[in-house]
Amino acid sequence: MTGPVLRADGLTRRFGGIVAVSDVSLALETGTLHAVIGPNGAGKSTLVNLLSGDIPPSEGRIFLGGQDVTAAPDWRRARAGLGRTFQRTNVMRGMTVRENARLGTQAATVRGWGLLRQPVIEEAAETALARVGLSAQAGELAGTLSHGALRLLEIAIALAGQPKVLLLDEPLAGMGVEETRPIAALIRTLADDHAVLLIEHDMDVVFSTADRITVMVEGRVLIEGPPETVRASEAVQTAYLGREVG
Amino acid sequence: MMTSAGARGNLLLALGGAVVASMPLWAMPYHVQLASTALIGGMFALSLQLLVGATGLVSLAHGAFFGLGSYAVYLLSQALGGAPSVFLSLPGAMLLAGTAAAMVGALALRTQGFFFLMTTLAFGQMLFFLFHDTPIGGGMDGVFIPRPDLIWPVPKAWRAPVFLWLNLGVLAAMYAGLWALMRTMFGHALLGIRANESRMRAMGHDVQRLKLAAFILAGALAGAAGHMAALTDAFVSPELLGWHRSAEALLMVLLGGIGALHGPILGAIALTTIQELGHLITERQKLVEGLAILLAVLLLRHGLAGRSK
Repeated sequence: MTGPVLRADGLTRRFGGIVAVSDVSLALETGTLHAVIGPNGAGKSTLVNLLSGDIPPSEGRIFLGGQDVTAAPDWRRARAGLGRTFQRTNVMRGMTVRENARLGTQAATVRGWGLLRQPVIEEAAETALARVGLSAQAGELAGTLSHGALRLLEIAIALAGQPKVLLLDEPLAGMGVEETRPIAALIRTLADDHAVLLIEHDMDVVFSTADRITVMVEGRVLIEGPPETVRASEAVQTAYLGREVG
Repeated sequence: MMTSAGARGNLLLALGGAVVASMPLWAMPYHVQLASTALIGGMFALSLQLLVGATGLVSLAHGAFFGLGSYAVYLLSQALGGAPSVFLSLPGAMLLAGTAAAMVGALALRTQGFFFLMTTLAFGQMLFFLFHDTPIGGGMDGVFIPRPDLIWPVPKAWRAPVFLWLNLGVLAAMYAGLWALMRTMFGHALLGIRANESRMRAMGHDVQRLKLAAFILAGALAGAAGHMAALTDAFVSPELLGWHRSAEALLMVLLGGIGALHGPILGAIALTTIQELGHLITERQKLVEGLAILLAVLLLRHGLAGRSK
């Protein structure tokens, strides 16, 4: 019904002589789980950092909700509805799980002199914790959580800001097989009410959950399409997937 | 995470305050004056704690804001041709120091870590030399100033106790204010920045603006401390702005405990005491000072404030 929530046009990022991301375009829509796969060094994380505003692109433009945010810093994009998680767990370990999520909501909802009020229990933060299943541990220090729970907290912090777009940078990194399945299911449900970009190495998860898949190789988009098309592509099989998927 | 004294801790602090307030009854005038020096050090270090303990910023420009607060009294008395009212000089000192902090902070906060330290050092020293090498502040040797007028004139014999109570009151107000501030969402955001700046930015916090607000407020509070020093001593000199003042305040913070809001107050009292004792037992007082601080830092991992909670 509406256009894409997040759209990237011809993104290129050079580091010195190296082209990490080359002419990548993509569009994310609410209700769609869009996965980006590719071998190590394909430029997937650089792409996330370009979209989130961590680093500026060398060329290309980024639109968030129709607004050109190419020059906007990361925190402005976050306020405009872009939530992200990090490949390496990046939380406030000395604070409680609840405070981690609450700060996520505060960033999105409290401005200026409003900051001089006392913090309250934020409904959005509590909902976010409940959605990832961390409500019971809300009062614990984040530093005491298991690796799997920390990965969930990563997602909860992003959700607490009530974003329209979620950039999930390898949310399953370091997870065992047991933990992977429920989190994959969670990510699938997140796509119901968000536009989700998922960077992931686990091919089973990607091909069973994603609506669209972009395959990146050496900074370029090799192919983009629904999982069946990507799976069937000979170019993908020779360039990246080998015979594992077929 | 920064803790602050709990209910029992605040009670102990209040008790300590009462003991200090009663000093004119039982202590020598010299020691009453010394207590005022410690209290002013406490204000100064407490203002720095807003940067170091709360936000994770280590600044060497803080002494310059302290000195500007002192010199505000001199500049006002020059402009008015006499002693200003304290109701003018105290806000004036905070405004001058806060404005300087806004300008320094706007530029220095573009850098991080070591470079922030060096940039603040450079700006601090620029302000120091402004008063050291130009006639703006009455010269490099310092200058006696008229004390700001309080509500009632203070007879000479009453000066030491009255200034002690005044300094105690300002320190208590500053502590109470910062204690309340750290409980607001602003305070929580500062702690978030100290804990993980990149995540705070990714959440959507305007980290630069939050840091600048903390820097300005800390500068204004350092100006208030400097103002109280000028009022107590009736003398200002460029030394008040020097970087070693910042270093001394950092020592107080470290000694008292980076992780506790009341740490700097304990640190200031301890450092003033160590300096005085060192002075009493030897001419090599800096050596004694250094050894005492080294021991304290090695033995007390969380400073004198310990690890509450």
